[in-house]
Amino acid sequence: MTRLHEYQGKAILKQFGIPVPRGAAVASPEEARAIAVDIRVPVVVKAQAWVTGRAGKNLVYFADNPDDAAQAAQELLGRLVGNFRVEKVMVEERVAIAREFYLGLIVDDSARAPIIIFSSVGGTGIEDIAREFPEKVARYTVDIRAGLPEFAARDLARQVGIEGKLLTQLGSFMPKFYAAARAYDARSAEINPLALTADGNLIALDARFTVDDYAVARHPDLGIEIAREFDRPPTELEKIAWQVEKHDYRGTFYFIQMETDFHKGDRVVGFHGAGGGGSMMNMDALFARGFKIADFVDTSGNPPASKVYRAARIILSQQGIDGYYAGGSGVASQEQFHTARGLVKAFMDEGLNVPAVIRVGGNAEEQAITILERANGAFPAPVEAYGRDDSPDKCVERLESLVESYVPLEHVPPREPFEPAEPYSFETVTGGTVTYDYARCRDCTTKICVETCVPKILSLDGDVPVLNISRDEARRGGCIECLACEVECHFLGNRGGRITLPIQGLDQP
Amino acid sequence: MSILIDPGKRVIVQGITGREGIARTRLMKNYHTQVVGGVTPGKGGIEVEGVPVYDTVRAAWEATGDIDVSVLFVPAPLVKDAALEALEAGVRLLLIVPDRVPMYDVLEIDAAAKEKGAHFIGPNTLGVLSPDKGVLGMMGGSAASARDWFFPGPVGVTSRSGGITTSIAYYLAKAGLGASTLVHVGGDAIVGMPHAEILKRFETDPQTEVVVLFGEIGTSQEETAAALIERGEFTKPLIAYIGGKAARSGTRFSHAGAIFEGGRGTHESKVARLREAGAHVVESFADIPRITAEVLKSRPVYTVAKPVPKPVSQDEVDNLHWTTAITKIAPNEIRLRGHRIDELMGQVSFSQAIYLALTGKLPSEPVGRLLDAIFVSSIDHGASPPSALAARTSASTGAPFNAAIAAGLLSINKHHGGAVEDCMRLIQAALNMAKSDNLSPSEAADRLVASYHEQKKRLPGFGHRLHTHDPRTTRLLDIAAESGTAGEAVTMVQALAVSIARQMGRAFPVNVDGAMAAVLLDIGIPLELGNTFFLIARVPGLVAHVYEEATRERPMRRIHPTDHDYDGPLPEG
Repeated sequence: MTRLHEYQGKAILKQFGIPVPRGAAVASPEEARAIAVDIRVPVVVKAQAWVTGRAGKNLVYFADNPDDAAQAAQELLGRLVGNFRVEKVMVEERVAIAREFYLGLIVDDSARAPIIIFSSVGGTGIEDIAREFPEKVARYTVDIRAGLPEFAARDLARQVGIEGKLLTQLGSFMPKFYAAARAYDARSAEINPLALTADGNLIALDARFTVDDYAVARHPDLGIEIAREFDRPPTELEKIAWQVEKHDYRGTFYFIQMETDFHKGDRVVGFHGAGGGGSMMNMDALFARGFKIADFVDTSGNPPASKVYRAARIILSQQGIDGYYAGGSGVASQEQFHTARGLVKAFMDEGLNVPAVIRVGGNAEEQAITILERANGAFPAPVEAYGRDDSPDKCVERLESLVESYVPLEHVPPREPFEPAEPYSFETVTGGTVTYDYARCRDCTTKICVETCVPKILSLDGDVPVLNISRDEARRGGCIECLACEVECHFLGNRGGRITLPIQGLDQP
Repeated sequence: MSILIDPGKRVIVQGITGREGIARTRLMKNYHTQVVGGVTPGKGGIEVEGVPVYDTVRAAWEATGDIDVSVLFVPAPLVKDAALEALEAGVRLLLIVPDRVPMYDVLEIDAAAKEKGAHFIGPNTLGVLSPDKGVLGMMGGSAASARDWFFPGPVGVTSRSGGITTSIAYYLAKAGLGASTLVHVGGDAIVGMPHAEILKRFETDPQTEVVVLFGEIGTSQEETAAALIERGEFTKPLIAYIGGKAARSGTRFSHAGAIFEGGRGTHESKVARLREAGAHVVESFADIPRITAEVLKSRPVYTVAKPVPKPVSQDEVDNLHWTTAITKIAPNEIRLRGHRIDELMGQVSFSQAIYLALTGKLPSEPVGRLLDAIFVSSIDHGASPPSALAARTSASTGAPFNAAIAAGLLSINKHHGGAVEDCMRLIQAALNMAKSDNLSPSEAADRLVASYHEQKKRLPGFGHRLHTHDPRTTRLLDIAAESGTAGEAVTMVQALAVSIARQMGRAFPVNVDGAMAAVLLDIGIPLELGNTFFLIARVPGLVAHVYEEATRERPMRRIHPTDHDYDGPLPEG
């Protein structure tokens, strides 16, 4: 779930006609002073941080004049809240409050509908109030196609004992809130407190939205860098990985760093899972043997070999890992030779210098195991591959044994350069380039590239491979980046194929 | 049986021309699934894997007929439109493979599905597979691996992880346990058919005897499943494993579903709720096959909702064993009293086969001709006998053939058609008397008739309410004489008739029952079976009456027992 800050939430509410206090979010004391000057009334300065009960955590200051506001901003900005630094504060007019309510929305998986929650008491500790005084809390299951009608909103107010003018005010307020949450694909949203001012108006004093990760792309105005909830700011590597995921819809690539401060010998391994459940099984086996994982990666949902390749290179870029472990459920439905080729190319390009154990069981596993084990010798460290009948425990045991016996090279020689004398090349869907050196192709006896090309887009033109679709078709996804024309050619042909698959941020431009 | 998929289901693939669409259409087709069409807007008219492609679901429906299931392989942002299109066209089950479908899109699909009484599996599902019956989605990857990994059996699998669905089934198969249906409910927080919905289907599936459930942290699916068990709506044994024990709160491991929501959704909460409900929650994934096998061994204890026959002891089994000497049935072999039925067919008459079935002996042709004559003689006796009246009365009330004919047969008793056996006993008694007292047939007949007369007992087989010279009697006795089958019983029945006439002073000729009794005795038919020859003979006559009543008369008419006329063909000349 992607969390929004208070100021972002309030901007959304405002868009839907919900009154919010005058003010703005700023990143410096000077800006805070300017806003306070502009508002010309006592203000409240609030740290923009993903915690509840900010007042109790000394993250909310009251300021009677612009100087105090600047001072408050000075104190709040840069403060560490959880794992996050406060980067912005919100400077707002202070509102005279007569009464506080709670208004929330959550998408409920069992009802498969949004639920509106309204409470006649709001503010800090709403969870306790809801538990202790259930009669003060009312719920309404929204019919997604009808939305939240005003009559339902009025009845929510009635259920918690509200009547008169306030009942009709809430009747028109709540549907606007629902409309805002719906428009921004909120998985949950809340206004707490929803205040009744001394002069009888309803106003949103706080706003919390979490947006459905899968819908973030629909809301470019939110400026969300990574559509995923982190309990700390994303690392540079996570940002790099996100770019890979974002630009290739084929299959899943999920990357999160678990450890960043470690060294060789700390038993931290690069972890490359496949599928949520299968990944957890393998992780448990690693933990049981005293390993730690540097990262949690999941490439599944039948990703192309290129996606597995980029994931592997990102994993291997973590300095200090002692080994590389990849594994899934053991009985994967996706074609496992794609995974195998992606890994082998990454190991060759990076010059694998830590032992790797790959549990690659599943569809076409025999072929996948052959591809992986055949690659031994093409890089310094050993690779072992296992199938569906080999348990995660056994695979982790093998990794442990390899890690204990392998002495990493001081300097890994770079992969032999590819300088084609007679190049033929075309581009791929993720910005990659496939190049054949016809000078080598002519001497190749197997022409294995044509035979193993998964989408069958290569034909022989005389004795050299050539696209049988247009370059444009290849670039628009006709070439699925199966990597066979490089990997198979390396081991069974004349090493005449090479594919470059840049990773934005990892490869220097 | 299976749930959700079987070879009878007609399936289309939306997004059939894409990378996944093509590959998985091949899988589904090669694994018995009836893929009748595909849909890709703008590509109508081509074929993918031999499957015709249409521009819209409605076009596919119109061209191929009713569609039961649509499998969606379209990119996530297009899923909502594709799903609503399929629902609108009338498809009642969708399988949504893609992940990253926006949540509110799923809610809208759900609302439309509810309105139409339809269901959907997924999003973010690997699919559904029933070994040897069919697959939806991409489970197994290729038909070859699916065949290699799974075989049919009693275990249902429902899982929130795709890879785990197949691995559970694979490790069960290695332990010798086959599967009924494997369902990956989908990896997202909101799915169309969560565990509880799948359990309801397994509950009514006769093949499924036990279910293995793979749960995960996040959502209320496992808690809802526990509630379902407690309400008695799922009564089969459930083995559950909940993944994600090591997951820290707040860290998400790729399944959007694995998110903590309030108190529920934690590993502890799910394990506790399922245990309270009586499920077998295993601690280690590797324990699943062993525990499943143990539960299956003791399963009658658990299946309270389904009446299970009491287990039978070996002694009882031995005592229950019985044999029959009539017909042997083996694969490709049917033997009536030892004779191959296919050899009897075309070689022996129906009457000879009846004799063989009843006595175990294949009769000679003359005996067969005599039996034919018996059956022909009694095939019908008009509309007035009680059996014909009963059959017609029943037919007139709308009774079907079997009921109306049974009504006729039920009225054949001691006083109607029931004299054959009694007459056989009479003749047999006379024969015994002649033998034991060394008397001639007429002496024995005289003595027996006198004794009956003295006791004022009726002599069965003689006299008729209508006929003084029953044409059937004469002919039957003639045939018996001609075929050489007439023996001491025929002689005796005639002696009895003479004796009766003499002693009564009035002729009581041998009637058809008496003639039948005599010839049946002479060809070695047991006394007990005597009347059945009349029953066998009369069935066709009753069929004719029932058919005529049903087709010629109005329902519920008042049937006069005697006031009716014959309007069939008249004798020639």
